Amino acid sequence: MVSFIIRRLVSMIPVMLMVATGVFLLLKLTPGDPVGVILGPDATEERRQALRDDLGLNDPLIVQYVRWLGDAVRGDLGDSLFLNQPVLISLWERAEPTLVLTMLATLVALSIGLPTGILAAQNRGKWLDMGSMGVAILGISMPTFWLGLNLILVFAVTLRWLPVAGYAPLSEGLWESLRYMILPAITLGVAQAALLARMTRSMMLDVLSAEYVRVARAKGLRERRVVYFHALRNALIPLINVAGLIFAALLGGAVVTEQIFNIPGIGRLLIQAVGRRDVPLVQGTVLVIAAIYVLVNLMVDIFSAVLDPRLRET
Amino acid sequence: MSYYLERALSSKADRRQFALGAAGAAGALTLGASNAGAQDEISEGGELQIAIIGEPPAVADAVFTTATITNNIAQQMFEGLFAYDESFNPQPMLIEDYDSSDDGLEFSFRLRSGVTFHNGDPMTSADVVASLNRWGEINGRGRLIYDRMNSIEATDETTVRMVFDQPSGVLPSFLARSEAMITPASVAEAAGAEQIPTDQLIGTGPFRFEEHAIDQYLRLVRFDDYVSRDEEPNGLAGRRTPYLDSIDFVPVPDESVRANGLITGEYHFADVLSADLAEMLELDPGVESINVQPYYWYSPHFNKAAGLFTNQALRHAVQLCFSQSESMLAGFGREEFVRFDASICGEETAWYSTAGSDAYDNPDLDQARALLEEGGYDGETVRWIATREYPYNFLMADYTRQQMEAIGMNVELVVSDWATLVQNRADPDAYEIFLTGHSQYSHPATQPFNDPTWPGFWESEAKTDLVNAMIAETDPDALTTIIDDYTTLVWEEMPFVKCGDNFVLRGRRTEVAGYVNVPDFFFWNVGLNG
Repeated sequence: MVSFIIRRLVSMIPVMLMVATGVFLLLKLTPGDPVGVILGPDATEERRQALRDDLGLNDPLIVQYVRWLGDAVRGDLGDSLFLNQPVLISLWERAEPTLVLTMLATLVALSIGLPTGILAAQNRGKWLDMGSMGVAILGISMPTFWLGLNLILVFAVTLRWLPVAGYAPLSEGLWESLRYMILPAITLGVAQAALLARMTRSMMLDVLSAEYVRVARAKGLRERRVVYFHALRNALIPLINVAGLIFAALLGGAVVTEQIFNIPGIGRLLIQAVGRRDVPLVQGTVLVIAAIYVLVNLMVDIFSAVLDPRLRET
Repeated sequence: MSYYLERALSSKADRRQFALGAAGAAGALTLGASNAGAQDEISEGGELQIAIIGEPPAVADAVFTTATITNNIAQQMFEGLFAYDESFNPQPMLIEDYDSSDDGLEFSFRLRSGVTFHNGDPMTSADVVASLNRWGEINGRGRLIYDRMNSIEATDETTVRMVFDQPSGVLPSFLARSEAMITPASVAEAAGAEQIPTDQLIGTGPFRFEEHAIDQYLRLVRFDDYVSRDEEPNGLAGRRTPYLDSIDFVPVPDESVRANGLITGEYHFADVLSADLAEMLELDPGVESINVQPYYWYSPHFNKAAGLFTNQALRHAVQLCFSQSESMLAGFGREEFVRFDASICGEETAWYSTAGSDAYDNPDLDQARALLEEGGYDGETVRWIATREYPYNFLMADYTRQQMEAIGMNVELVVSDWATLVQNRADPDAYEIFLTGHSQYSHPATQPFNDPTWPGFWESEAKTDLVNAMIAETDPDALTTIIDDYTTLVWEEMPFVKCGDNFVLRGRRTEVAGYVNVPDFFFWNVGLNG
């Protein structure tokens, strides 16, 4: 097991290097001037040039790349050009809102998606199956921003049950923080719930048609025991993979939701950094998101390997 | 149908309110600065929440950046030697009074005594000299003044003397801008060309810096030892009383969130809302919409350094081929938020002039075609760089493109994000036209396009002479004549096409008392009632 983990960790290195180089080149090939955004519309050309020099933006590409990579290897992702603070601190300050949102959204996805998928599989071909899968397709197809804005209109503006937008840190109390997170978590969780429901249904159908399930039924076990004890346990392994991927995707992919609900998280940080051409911040954020993605995948693999010994051999 | 639209159509009472709101919008919302809040009883205390358009660059260092949002925040904390009154005339702020020689070569400023910085230190002439030195070094307008200056010195604790090589009558007007802010000498000297660190944001203003959580809030609190002037408040000038305990500037990039938060009371004030939201705000009894006049004017700028539009005849051809008022409506939609006006300064200012602008909004396609021929236009592609990030920018460009094509021009809209546009417009080989906005309430000499290195690259001896004359002049009547000449020159040389004025929509909760409608918002003399 230990060598399995070490192998996987070592294989992260080329992945991260490729991500770092790719992001660097992509950003450098994209036109756009961070200095113009920082100094405002009336700044003189002379002043812009001076700031570009200060920030090292006039150095040759290769010099900038080697400097950045050298620092990154030592754990220094540089300073954000616009926010004037270290990239790692920018990311750290936004980790809490994004983590809370991701966990809640995953919870929403699991608590809606799993039971719906199981129920649909059990009732294959019946109206419950078709109805729930129809709703699931609706859930996947619904744009996040549309759902988010409508939830705000109903629950925040009209009913005034929940705040329109913003974020309260956990240190201000769990309920205070949750109040802000309920609508975004539903917005973000619904699409994933729909995806999860469809995946669960098809996994369950695969398993339910397996021979050991037929044997279980032939033994005269009750249907509930067959579904939840024999079938679901085996369907869970691929589902854990899916849930892990959903969690990782939500961590970096909550851009639209964070924007609509004005949550100071990593997604919003990234989109703003791109708009401002804040190159070190974009690089650092993408690198950290990539690292989290790889690590979550690793954890999912470890977890799967614990559940299924066959996987440890490969 | 949206909830608000439904409500708008659901009852007679609402319809009446809607009609009144729409009809009264332009008039009621532009109450003069002096009478908007004067009658309100203001109670002390309260925590004001303000939704702003995004994180301000350089936090509150208005010397470092020219971004409007930073300047607006800075002026709650920092003060200058002068401040603008409601007619945009400079009035004393940190000075008791000043002398200037008739030739505009010497100025002597006597500082107010008893003014202290937020750190408790008294403000002295050494602080003023150090602050202005930083402004003269890194700020464009400061540099313009310093290039003409011979010396600046603190002659005693409370007197600053400035001597110029060339007459500089415009000085008080420049010193009234929020960027000419006074900080302790130690802060100005330590910062130099860098931005001031947040723990060093120390000024003399009615509010002081408390805390900055990036992307969450920037909190200012009342400066209890603030020493106010005694004169009646007038625009940004006169008495300043900080009633509020604190002000939170909350970055809310999405304008519908700013509007919704205003309606639910999460924010007391929301900056920059699109005109489409005016009806929604007017329907809510708890919200007052604010139509900010003057604000910005908009124009396509020609690239005069390279390519087609180095030719003046072709610039005139473009101006004559489209209706400037139609382009404003295409960009901004609602009539109560636009004004069709040829002047490059709002009519509310002393610099208003429409001299030489007969051609404004008077399209003549035949003459335009004749000018194309005269200019030797031969079907070359006109690259108009635009962005959808600001909808007006694309909409005005797209409308004008169609009119240009109608007279036989070949126009390509090159659409990108704002950061790309800002980079491209600085490159004379990258474009023929770009569009942007400029303040209606700035002295014409302070407009960035006077600088020949600024995008569009307006190089003109006549312009340089007139700008110099504007900066030098000390006599207001003579200045009016110069501004007339300058405006005439703008319409003659046509470096850009002034299309019209746009007013921005802001919103406030009705419990915000004492608010005065000025372009650069401020929150002293403002309280939270009820």
